[in-house]
Parts: sequence; C-alpha cells; structure tokens
Amino acid sequence: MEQFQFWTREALDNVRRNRLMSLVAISTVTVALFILGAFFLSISNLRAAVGAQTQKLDLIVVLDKGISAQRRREIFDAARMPQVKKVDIVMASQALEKYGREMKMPIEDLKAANPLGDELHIELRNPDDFFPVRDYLTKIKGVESIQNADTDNVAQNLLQINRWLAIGAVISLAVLSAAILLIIHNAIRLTLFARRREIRIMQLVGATNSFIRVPFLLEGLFYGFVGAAIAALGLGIIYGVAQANASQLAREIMPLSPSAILVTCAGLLLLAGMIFGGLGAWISFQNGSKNLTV
Amino acid sequence: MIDFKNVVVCYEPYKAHSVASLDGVSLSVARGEWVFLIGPSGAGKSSLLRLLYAGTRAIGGSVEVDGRDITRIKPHQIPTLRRKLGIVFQDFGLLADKTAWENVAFALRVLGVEQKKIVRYVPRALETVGLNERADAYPHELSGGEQQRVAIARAIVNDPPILLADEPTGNLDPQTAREVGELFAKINAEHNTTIVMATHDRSLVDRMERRVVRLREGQIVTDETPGTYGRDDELELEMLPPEAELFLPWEKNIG
Repeated sequence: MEQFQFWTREALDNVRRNRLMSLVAISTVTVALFILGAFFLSISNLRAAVGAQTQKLDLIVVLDKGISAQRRREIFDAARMPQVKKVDIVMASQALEKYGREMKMPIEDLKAANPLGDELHIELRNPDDFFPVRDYLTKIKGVESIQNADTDNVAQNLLQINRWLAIGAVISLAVLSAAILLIIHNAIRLTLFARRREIRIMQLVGATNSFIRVPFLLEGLFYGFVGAAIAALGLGIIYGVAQANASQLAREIMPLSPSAILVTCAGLLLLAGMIFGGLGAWISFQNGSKNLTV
Repeated sequence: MIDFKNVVVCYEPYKAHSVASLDGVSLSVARGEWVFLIGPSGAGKSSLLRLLYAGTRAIGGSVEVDGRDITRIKPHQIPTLRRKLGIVFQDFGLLADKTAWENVAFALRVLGVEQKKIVRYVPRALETVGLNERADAYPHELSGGEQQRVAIARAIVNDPPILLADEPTGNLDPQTAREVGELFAKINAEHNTTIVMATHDRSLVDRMERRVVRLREGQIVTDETPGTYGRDDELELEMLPPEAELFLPWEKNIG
C-alpha cells in the first residue's frame, strides 16, 4: 500500500513538475483520440445507414397458383430456416387487395380470375444471407418466382459496400491506433529524459527496473485517461449538437442517436487511451532505460 | 570484502583499436579498510569503481564483492548488489525538487522500506552527517559541502558495508573538503564501513594516511600501506585535478 502511494505520488508529482510536457502529452493524446473517436462515429453511422438499407432486402416468395394447402404449409415450414427471422403468409386474395390499394385501381374484375398466387413474406436475420436463402427457396417445388430478384444489383452493391466499410474501418483504426501509440511513446520518452537524473539515482540505490517502471506506467495511463476523457467529452458535445440541429437528410446518413452510440464511443476511447498510454509508457521505458543505465 | 583478480575492462571492445581502461588489475580490500585510488585522468579509477557497482563489465578476470562473484552478474541481480553499496559522486546527484530529508528518504522508499522505518533511519543518517538542522532545506538552499553531506547521508542511510566515492571533494573548497574527509573517517571508524575512494585531492590523501593504490593506464603502479606512499614530481602532476592540466606550463603538459 505504501509502495502504491509512493508510485502514485511520484507519477502525479512528475505530471505537476513537468507541466508543459504533460500538457503537450495530454493534448496530443486528446487530438489523436478525438480523430479516432470521430472516425469511429462516422464509420458506425455509415454502417448503420447502409445497414438500414440492407434491412429492406426482404424476400417475397410467390407460390404456384392453385397450390394445395398442404403444399403451402410444407413450403412455409421449409422457409423457416435459421437465417430467417420471420415468415408471413399472404393469401392471393390479400395480395390482390394490396396491389389494388397500391395501384389505386379497382380489382373487382380480377377477383374471379386472380392472376396472383399466394405469397410468403420473408424477413432475414442478416442481409448477408439474402442470396443463399433466395437460391434455396427458388429450387423448392411449388415456388413460382421470387420477387425482388430485380433488386439483385442493388443488394449486391449494398452488401459489398457494407463489407468494404467493415474492412476499411478495421484497417483505418489499426493505422490510427499505431499513430496514437507512437505519439504517447514519444511523449513518455521525453518525460523519461527529463527524469534521467532521478532514474539514475534509483538505479544506484538498488531499485529494481520493475519498481522504477511503475510511476511511468501510471503516468502513461494518466495521460491516456485524461486525453480520452477530454476527447470523449468534446465528441459528445459536438455530436449531440449536430444531431439536434440535423435536417431529415442528415439524419438519414447519421441515424444513430447520441444515447445509442456515445456511451459505447466514450467507453472505447477511455479503454483505448489507457491501453495506448500504458503500452506507450512500457515501450518507452524498455527502450529508454537501456540508454539511461549507469 | 573486495577482490579483483587480473581484471580487464575495455570500452567498445569490438572496435579495432579499443583501449583497455583496466588491464590485468589484481587488488584485495579487507572489511573496514579505506583505500584511496589515485592517478591521472583516464588511469582507470572510475572504471574500477564502476565495476564494483556493476556499471560496467569486465571482459577478463574476476571481481568478488562481499563474498559474491559479480563478474558475470545478471541484470536482475544488480539491484541486490547495489543495496550493499553506498555511492557518492562529485556532482552530489541530489534531486532538486526534494528537501534534504526527502532526498535521503528517497533511497529507502525506492527499496520499499516501510514509512515507520524511514522516519527512524533518515534522521539518524542526517545526524551522522551533522545536517539534522537543515533537513527541510532544498538543494539550492544548501552550500556545496552541505549538498555533499546530504549525498553521503543518502549513501549510508541503509547502513551499507561498502562505500564507494568518486571524487567526493572535487567540487568543494579545501576547508569543506577537509570536513567531508573527516566525515568519511567517522563513518569508517564508527560503522567499520569499507571505503574505496577515487580522488585527486592530495591533501585529503595525506591527512587521512590510509592505503593508497596508484593507477596509470589501467594498471596498478604502486599499492602503498597507510602513510607511506612515495612522492615525486610525476605524482604531483597526477594528483592535480583534470581541469588544472589546462593551466600547466606547456613543457609539463607534453612531458
């Protein structure tokens, strides 16, 4: 306990002593994590917007006309696959009424010889399963056609965009993370240099390297935490204001509400800040202490 | 207590024309003994001290400290070795933002010593060096002699059996240097602490009348029993501090 107090005091003393250096470290972490957070928010919103479009990729399975109730039941059961969230049966008469409503035309003449068949409206769990499910259902006997087939290109493109966004997000986050790590590493290296005299004395009186390392780790964690907290606060305010004043179109491309995304974003930033802070300090110490060895 | 056998130290040994800073040095120091290391700059005095606190490694021979062979000491074993040593330098090495008391306590804190022991040991060490009255002063408020006393208090606060000093009076005026010398004598007598001191301070060596080991070009030239080391013109030159060489007549400089 006394040791932990000593480490904490040393770390905080050092932050206070090297005010300018600490300010530089915290502000660089803040800027870097702000960019990271803004990127995260943009990607999340973009994926949500694209995702909302892909959710519209439901399937309408048109069954053969005059199909027996038993066969209809069998097709209904076959359609309830694990990838399918919900299956609704729309009888031919209901489909015709809906068609009439949509087209705003009388359907009385058509009722006698209804050109439409019974339909299964299928909602998918994951839009990525659109093509496999559609191909499977096409092959079932008694299925006349699957509507939305003409949306193949749209579906293909949306799914492709969504996939590339995910890959792009991972790569960009990795690159940004590496940049942040370097920034923190550099900031701690400077504080290590500023404290070389103290480190030399600690080494000479017999302190172990792990003991000497702890205040630097705490310092790195502190920079990471404070930088992340400021970045999260700034992002929260900006996002909240932007959402409140957004037009309908802007809401379409920024569909996530502040309450839905900001807590996750802040949590991730704090975690990232502390991981980068700790890791950056660790790497700096490992490299720096070799040069400072008496 | 300390045993060097045919020790060779070479900085940058991988270079084609590397120079040995210690070349086949053999030396034994008994417990409680006080040995002065003298010789011109570059003779190997500091290298010998650095070997003792594992600040450098020997590429040949063996070094034993307090019954333990430290020639091939592993990095994680170095802190244990250094806890048996007190080290004093010419530049005092105090932390500017800590008081005298905190500077001395710092040496114990980094070793994980409990607070209740710290409050007992620190005043005792400051008492030994006669600085209890100035415990709350910061280094910039202390004279050079007082700063060196704080450094000595920090070196002896955990009662080490060996005290190493590299030019401890190099930055002090003669009167203060004498006082610091007497302080070392007191520590040596009261605690039976073994002292190895590299110095250019001729008057200190003369006054203390201890064993004197004279080094030149990495080798021991003479090893004199207390109070009997010879005096010659060459020695007079060797005992001058490095910066004094700038003011010597040019004949002596090139001689």
